[in-house]
Amino acid sequence: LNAPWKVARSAKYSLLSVTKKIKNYFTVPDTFELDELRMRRVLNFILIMLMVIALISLLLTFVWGDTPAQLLSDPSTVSIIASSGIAGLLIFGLFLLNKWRGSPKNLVGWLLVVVLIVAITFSDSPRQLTNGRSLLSWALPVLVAALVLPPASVFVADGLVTIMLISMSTNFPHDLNLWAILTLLALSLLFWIGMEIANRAIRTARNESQKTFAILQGVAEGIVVVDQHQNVIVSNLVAKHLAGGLLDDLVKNASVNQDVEGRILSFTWSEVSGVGRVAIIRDITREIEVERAKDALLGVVSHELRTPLSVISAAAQMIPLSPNMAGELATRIHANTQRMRVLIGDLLDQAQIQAGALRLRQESFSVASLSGSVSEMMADDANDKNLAFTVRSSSDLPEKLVGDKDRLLQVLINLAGNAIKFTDPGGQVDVIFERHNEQSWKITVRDTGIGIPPQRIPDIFQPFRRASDYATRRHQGVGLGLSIVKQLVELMKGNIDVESKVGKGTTFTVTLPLEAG
Amino acid sequence: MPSAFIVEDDRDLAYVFQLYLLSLGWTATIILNGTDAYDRLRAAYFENRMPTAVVLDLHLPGRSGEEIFDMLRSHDLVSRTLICSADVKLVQKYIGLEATALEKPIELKELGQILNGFAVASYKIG
Repeated sequence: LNAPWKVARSAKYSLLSVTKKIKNYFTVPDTFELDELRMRRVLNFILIMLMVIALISLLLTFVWGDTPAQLLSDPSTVSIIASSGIAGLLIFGLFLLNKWRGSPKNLVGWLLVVVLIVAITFSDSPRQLTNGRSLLSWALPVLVAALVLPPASVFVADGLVTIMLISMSTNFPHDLNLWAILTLLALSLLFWIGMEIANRAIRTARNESQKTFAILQGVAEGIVVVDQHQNVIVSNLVAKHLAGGLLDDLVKNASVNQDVEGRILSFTWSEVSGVGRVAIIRDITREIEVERAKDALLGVVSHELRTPLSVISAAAQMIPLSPNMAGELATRIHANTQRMRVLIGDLLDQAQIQAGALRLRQESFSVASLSGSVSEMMADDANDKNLAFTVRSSSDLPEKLVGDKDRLLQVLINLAGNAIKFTDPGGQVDVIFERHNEQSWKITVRDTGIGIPPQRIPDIFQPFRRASDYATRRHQGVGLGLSIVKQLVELMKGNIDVESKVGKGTTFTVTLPLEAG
Repeated sequence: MPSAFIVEDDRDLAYVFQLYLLSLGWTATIILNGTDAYDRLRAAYFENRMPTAVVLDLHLPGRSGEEIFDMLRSHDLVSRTLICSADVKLVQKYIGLEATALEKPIELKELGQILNGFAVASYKIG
């Protein structure tokens, strides 16, 4: 058995759906063009009113009149009942036709005007209709024409009424009511002017609202307007898209930033008197990610600068306390200033490359001097780790090449430095200069070190990648070295590849365009 | 003689700290990575040979300094731990948690004063 409140609730909903259906039945569907829709809606209202009047007059005849038997025995009452019924049915037909999508524009309006003129013609004696009490009823079709047809139609309706007035004058032209004809014409003119003004005002208002609508839909931010009861009254497509169907719930929440299906939306509210509150909705997921990345980066950079600085500071404080260790302490101070110098150099290089401000020199240099410099600068580090370190250049290379020797040396020191850092004592590091093909030459830096896990290879060239594994960092640095290497090689119109096997070693190959100097 | 564990992955800094503590009359052991430090500190605790002080860096290879600190806290050893890190945010966080923490670069004198404070406290308790 259903609980009583469930029954009550389902009854409420079925009642609601019935009232909705009734309401829909008596409404013109909004499938028409805007001006036509407005006229059809006015017509719809008039037709419903007329049907109600017909119904009430029928009921009144039966309620307050004589008994049905007596009514039906009197021919005059029978004719009244019959004509009311026929008029009611006719109007119902017009009502259905008006709602029907297939009916031509203005047809029902004209039919109603004609029906009204015919009805008025038979509503009283010709004398009363042309010169007596019913004279004013001729204004009705003109008024209806003004309301439900294009403004100029009032003159057609007025013309029809004038024809009726003339044709009903039994003693033409003596009883022709010229004043009535002129007054109706004046009335038509007034209606026409009134409707023209009203139509223009409506069109202007609609144009304005269309402009506002276009702006509302065109802005990149979501916009939503809620009334005093937190109901959404206006919202644009972006707002609906961002909220993903949750807009009604989101606007009830007062918080400024809200999480919607993994995205963060920011709501900026402002009060608009007489309307309610307006919110501008923006998707700030990316901004927050960038902000976090910036924070993390700043943290890493600050950490990497503070670490050597703390050695320099502590060692300098230590020298007066144990002067006999001064030499050793000074060595460590120097090593750490070097470390800071490299870091600052890397940060500046990265900033310059990103800003597109780094310019490469194009000058002739000897391959032998380049390989000599690498060998000289890295030999000590390799020796310290007890590594076999060789630098060779193949004889198929020209003696002199064109390029930026200092930046090439920077690339090589970075690659060879990494190779030495990640190779255990007893291992081997080789740097080989050779020809690649007619147009290019290549430098290979090969080690027998720990290797790079395959899943890490895609991001080894990403700048600041160490920011992500900051807490349990295995190595010093902010992770700029390889990123700068790749960017420098690309600036030289070259290419860098990496092959690696965990536990076996890593090979970096830099291919550069060949230009003999 | 008071003793200290210096948990610090930067060899140079660890060396200078050690030199300084030796000059103050302490014995100091350097531990260069987090995993080692975690295991040795835990073993020292259970074998009842905890050093007088632990100088703890936070960003370490292997287990992080934060993990090590949590372990020390669970054994009530916060009162002899000095956090020493270049991560300003984390240092602030630990100061908020009422731990003793210094931001790198540090003053050696301050390090000495704090560690001597630990030594006096342990002497009173011991």
